[in-house]
Amino acid sequence: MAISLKVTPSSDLAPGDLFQDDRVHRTVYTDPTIFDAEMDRIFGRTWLYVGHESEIGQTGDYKTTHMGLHPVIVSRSEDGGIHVLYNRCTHRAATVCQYDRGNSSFFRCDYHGWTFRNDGSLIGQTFASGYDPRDCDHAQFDLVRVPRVATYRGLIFASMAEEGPTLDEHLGNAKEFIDLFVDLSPVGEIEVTSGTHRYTYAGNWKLQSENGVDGYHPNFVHQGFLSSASRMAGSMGDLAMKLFHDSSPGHAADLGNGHGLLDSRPNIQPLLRELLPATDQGRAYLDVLARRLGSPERALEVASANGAGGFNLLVFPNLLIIGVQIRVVHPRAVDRTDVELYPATLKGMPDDVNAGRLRGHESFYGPAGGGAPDDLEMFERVQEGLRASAVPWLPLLRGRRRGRVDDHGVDWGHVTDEQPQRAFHRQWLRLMEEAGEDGEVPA
Amino acid sequence: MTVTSEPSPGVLTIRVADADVAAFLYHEARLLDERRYDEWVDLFADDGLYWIPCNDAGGDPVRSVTIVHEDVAALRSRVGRLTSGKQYAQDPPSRMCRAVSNVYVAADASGGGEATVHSTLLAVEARRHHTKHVFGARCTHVLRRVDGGFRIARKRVDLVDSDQFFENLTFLL
Repeated sequence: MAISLKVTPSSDLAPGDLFQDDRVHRTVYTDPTIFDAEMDRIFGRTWLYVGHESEIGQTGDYKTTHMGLHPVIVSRSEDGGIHVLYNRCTHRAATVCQYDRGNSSFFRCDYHGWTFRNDGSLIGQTFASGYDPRDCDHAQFDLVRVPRVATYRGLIFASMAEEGPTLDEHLGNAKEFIDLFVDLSPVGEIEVTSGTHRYTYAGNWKLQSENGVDGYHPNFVHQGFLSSASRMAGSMGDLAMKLFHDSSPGHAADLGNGHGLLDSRPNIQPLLRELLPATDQGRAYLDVLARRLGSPERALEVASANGAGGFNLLVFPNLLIIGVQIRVVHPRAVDRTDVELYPATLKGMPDDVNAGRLRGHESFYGPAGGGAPDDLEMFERVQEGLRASAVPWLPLLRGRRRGRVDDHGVDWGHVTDEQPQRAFHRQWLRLMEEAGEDGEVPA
Repeated sequence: MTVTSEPSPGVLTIRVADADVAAFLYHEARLLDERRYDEWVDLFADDGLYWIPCNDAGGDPVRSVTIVHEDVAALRSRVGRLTSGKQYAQDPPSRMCRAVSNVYVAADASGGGEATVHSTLLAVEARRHHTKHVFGARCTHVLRRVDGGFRIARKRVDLVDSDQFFENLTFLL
């Protein structure tokens, strides 16, 4: 069903006109009407990452975050269940939880004293005699639960839609890379309890989602960092400028469902396959992995795949797994985005290895890192440039005619190609054009 | 870190730092305001450490991500990038002024080779047309007396909003 989306008072472009496979219209990044529609049709429907199980490891633990613009609480109740609740009192709408994280058996709204269990159920209304039972059924005023919650390898996702693809169906080909990320741990579990880098920029949220799997920019935006890294001793230093060069053997891929991949394994793996078995510590680690994963070959495949920037994964629409981090993109307005970076540590690894992961992460990422702030600078330059409405289109032509589709339907291009961005916008278009359950398009 | 447990009301547990200690901190702030980064790194002892904790986590950098936790070699590399013209987050650069105040030491601090100096930093950043930020931080310097002057053995900057969303902290505090 083609749906007309009022874009500006003077134009009436449908979503299909805004993305045409080889180009994107500027209003996709600038128009508040389109942003509102995205919040309903994309963030209101698809699976969104809300946290990791280790963040709410104990009974009563909670964290707060956002799903699209909705403030939510992710809590673990007494029975161990995970709940995702709108952080909004069912009386006068005040938030009932004020902290990023903590532990509590209940949430009490400070406005009029309504109190809820950490599974959302209403414990009591203050001065209850004022509520006639004929008007007020208790359960009707539970904190509203986000209807679907599911986990994959400890990552918690939720969907604000009652129905739709399962999390398993949504993740699809992305699962293989989440597995690689998690299986690096000797016990097959990551922990996300080392704090959060937070940054914000004056630009559209999609700029960050697209950039996380853009292999064309690093040799330019990050040339300062990469050239200083290339002065490091050894083979990793030699690799720095080559990873995202025109001559790199790496790939960029459309994994389906809007998910994208930058795959530097062709650069990294041959090196780590030599380095890891060359030390006692490396051999001991590979032995542990081999016992859990079933074979020495799989152990080497996993251990050499990630942990040194082996791949960047975008899980549509706003989750990135890059290096050691889980990154979440939070849209705030059409031209304002918050980003959270959660470095993951490997359960079962020595402290010094995990501390090394944190320090390596900080050297490039975070608000004072050697690389990420330069990306933010580019997003703000883009957002400013997009004000030139006389020049409406952004091309997505790179590598369009040199991809190769494998048996799983994955479209592989060169690491500097724009497969992931085309995949992202294709899924964007699919969701923007789909009618809601009632066949109506949100206004 | 800070001296807060008072033996009884009104009995001071801190004293104002000596004038030369305060002057050293003002000099450091001036070098940063003027982006004289190479001279700034030279203020550090060879085994110096520069640390900006993140998320109020403070505590243990082994288990907590930080905003910056760098030795002098890493700082030199950072400064090299800042002055390379290729660190676009500082092109154009932030124009800044820093006010350093409330400079004090513990009342019972011995006059040994190192002194722990507490101060409050207010930094104003202006960048491009529209960006203006105020940063507030409690700073802790461990200063070492060397050759009649000081070297920074350790500098820790506890931003009041270290758990919040930042636009750009690529300049140094």
